[in-house]
Amino acid sequence: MRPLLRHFLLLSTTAIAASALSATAPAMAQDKTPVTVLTIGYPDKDSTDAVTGTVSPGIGNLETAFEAANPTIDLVVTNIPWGEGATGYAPKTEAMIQANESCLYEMPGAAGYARRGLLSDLGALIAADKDFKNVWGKQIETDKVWGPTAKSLYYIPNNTGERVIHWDATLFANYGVEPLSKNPTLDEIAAKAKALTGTDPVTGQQTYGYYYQGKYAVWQFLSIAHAMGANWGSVDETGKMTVTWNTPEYLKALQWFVDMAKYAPSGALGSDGMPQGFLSDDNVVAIIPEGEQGYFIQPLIANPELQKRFRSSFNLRGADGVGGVATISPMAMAESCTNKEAAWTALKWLAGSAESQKYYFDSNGRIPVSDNGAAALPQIAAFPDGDVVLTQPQFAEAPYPWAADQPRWAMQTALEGALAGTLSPADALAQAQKETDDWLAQQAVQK
Amino acid sequence: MKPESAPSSLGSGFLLSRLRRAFRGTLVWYGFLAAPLFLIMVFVGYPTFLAFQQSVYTETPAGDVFAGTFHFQRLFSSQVFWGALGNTVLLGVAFLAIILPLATIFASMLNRLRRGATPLKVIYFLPQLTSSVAVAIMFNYVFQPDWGLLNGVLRSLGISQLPLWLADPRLSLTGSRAAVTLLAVWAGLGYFIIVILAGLQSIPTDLYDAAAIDGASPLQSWVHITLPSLRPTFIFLIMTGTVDALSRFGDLWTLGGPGGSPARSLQSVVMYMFQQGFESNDFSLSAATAVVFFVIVLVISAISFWGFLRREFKAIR
Repeated sequence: MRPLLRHFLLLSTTAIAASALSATAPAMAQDKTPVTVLTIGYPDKDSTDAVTGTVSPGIGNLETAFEAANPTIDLVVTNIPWGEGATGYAPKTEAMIQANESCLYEMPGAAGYARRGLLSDLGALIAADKDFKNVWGKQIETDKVWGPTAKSLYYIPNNTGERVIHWDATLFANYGVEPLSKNPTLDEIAAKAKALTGTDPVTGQQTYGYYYQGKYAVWQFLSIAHAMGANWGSVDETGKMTVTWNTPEYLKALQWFVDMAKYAPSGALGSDGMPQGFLSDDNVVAIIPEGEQGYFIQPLIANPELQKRFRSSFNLRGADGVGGVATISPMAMAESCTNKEAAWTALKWLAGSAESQKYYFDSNGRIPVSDNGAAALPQIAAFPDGDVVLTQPQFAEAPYPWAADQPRWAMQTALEGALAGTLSPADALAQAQKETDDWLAQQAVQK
Repeated sequence: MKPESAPSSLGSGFLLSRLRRAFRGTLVWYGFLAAPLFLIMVFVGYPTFLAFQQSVYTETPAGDVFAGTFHFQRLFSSQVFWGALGNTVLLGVAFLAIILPLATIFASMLNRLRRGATPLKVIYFLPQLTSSVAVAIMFNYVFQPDWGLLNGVLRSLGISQLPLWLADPRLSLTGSRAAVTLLAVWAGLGYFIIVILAGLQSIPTDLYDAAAIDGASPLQSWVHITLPSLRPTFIFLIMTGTVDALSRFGDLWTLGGPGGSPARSLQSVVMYMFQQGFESNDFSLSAATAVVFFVIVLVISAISFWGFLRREFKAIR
């Protein structure tokens, strides 16, 4: 046989065998119950950071881990980027849910979809699930939102960011100040921030007791205010939002915040990150209530020595036992989902299992929301304050429905005026209330 | 019927022949111009029309509802809008007031150099080639009050009361508005210098020779020959600089965020428009802002044109 013909026959045979194999693969998948899920922002493939060499696992790893744990379910993942504007996740989510393209959705705007009756009531599924185990703590209660007729649980946190309160153990020791409590109060923070502002008795450097990120001060302020009993307002069953900034509780909180700003570096108002020297020997700020996961977790894992100096405490809590901004990524089930039983099994695994929580951290640095966090991330559990870092998200406040809307900017701007001294705290709150009311009135016209 | 139709066919033939004569040899250029015109109409004309339309409608779940001047009333009663407009005007005026004299002085000095002018021109022009976002990020470090470059220099000079720059929303020479004005001057100086230099080099040397024969000093020549001869250049720079200053966005957004932090001191009209549209999803108010901004720029351009350029156009005629 001529070599060319032989090669041709070999290639043809290989191609026929490959197509026969691929034809049998779907038959195997048909034995499983398919569950479709929309995820947002995970790497499509394994990728390596060009600078650090860190490998971010692709979404296929989550799919594989799920199917290993749930062999009767075929998880079909559609992974989209966050995007922006017309190409952002929001219009794509809307299009997919309108077309019944997916059963489960990672859904940042879940509350709005719940109100429109597009999401399944997970409370009913929980009630019917004899094996249900709450691994999400208080979030199961705080995350209840209005459905078409009643308030219920329409999503479960999938993963999250967080805010803890950092404190520099070295500065506390240098000044001979007692370490910050695991659950500090406002009075404790105020007293210690004052004591830690001045000239460090050991290094002779100017130090500051307190810190805030000026451009995101609204989140810290809301934690302070919540701890003082303030309540931003509510959303009723029709979706009408009421926001009350101009209350005595908020005024007291703002006066406290303005007082505390005196113990912060002078440039804090213009800052949008951590203070210069944070996570190094050059740090000069003692209490930093801005412990966002992206700033500290990876450096502390990479350098365990830092874990001894840069400690973490729980965020301030209110009388309801929760406190701190919630930056959860919710997982919800479409009301139109036809195989809810399998989808519920998948949802519980995606939002609560150790494997999924590990995947979210490894791929995007997101923090676990469930009790399985310690098992998922032993490297964080090994921090001196690992329990704080891993469980703070379970005590976060309910997500603010206006977090990306005008009430946020109105309050943020007013705060900046108060912190800069161009507005009195009372005037700042009056200004925030007026701008928010104007926006709410416009929203009412548009409904 | 035929006699009646004859004049009409004659007329159309006459018209066609006139059109042919008018476009003979140039028709192909209209073809070339049609493509960009089409793109401008699709990507500029049509969106502009939609913005005008959106400004008089309100979005509701049932569709757009005609709202008349409602959104313009909202806009004009908003203190935030007036604050943003005030900032825009203030930053624009401060920018032009600083950069024009500075660029004129630098260009005049460069014009006198016999050697080394080209490298200096390149150095001055480099910031113009840098992305406004990159420049803003760099200046965020320069103006940082506690450990920034500028305050570091001031500290080394023994100054104890250091300015807060971007952390100070007050109207002062060391506040956030002053900081972003310095940034804009640094970034735009090279462009202004190059344009003024081109203007300087187009002034006939005979004028200077005649002035020298008449005994004029270099300063007198500069004041009485150079500056008046640069009038068209200044007008061009004022007009384009005004529009650029009014539409400033990238660097202010990078430094001040959506709210123009601190305390909206850096919020320009374009930022306000963007924030209303894309942060608060209030596209009708955003469109109304765009319409008002369009009218403001149109009025400024018309005033500049009729006020400053009339003389030049008369001279050309």
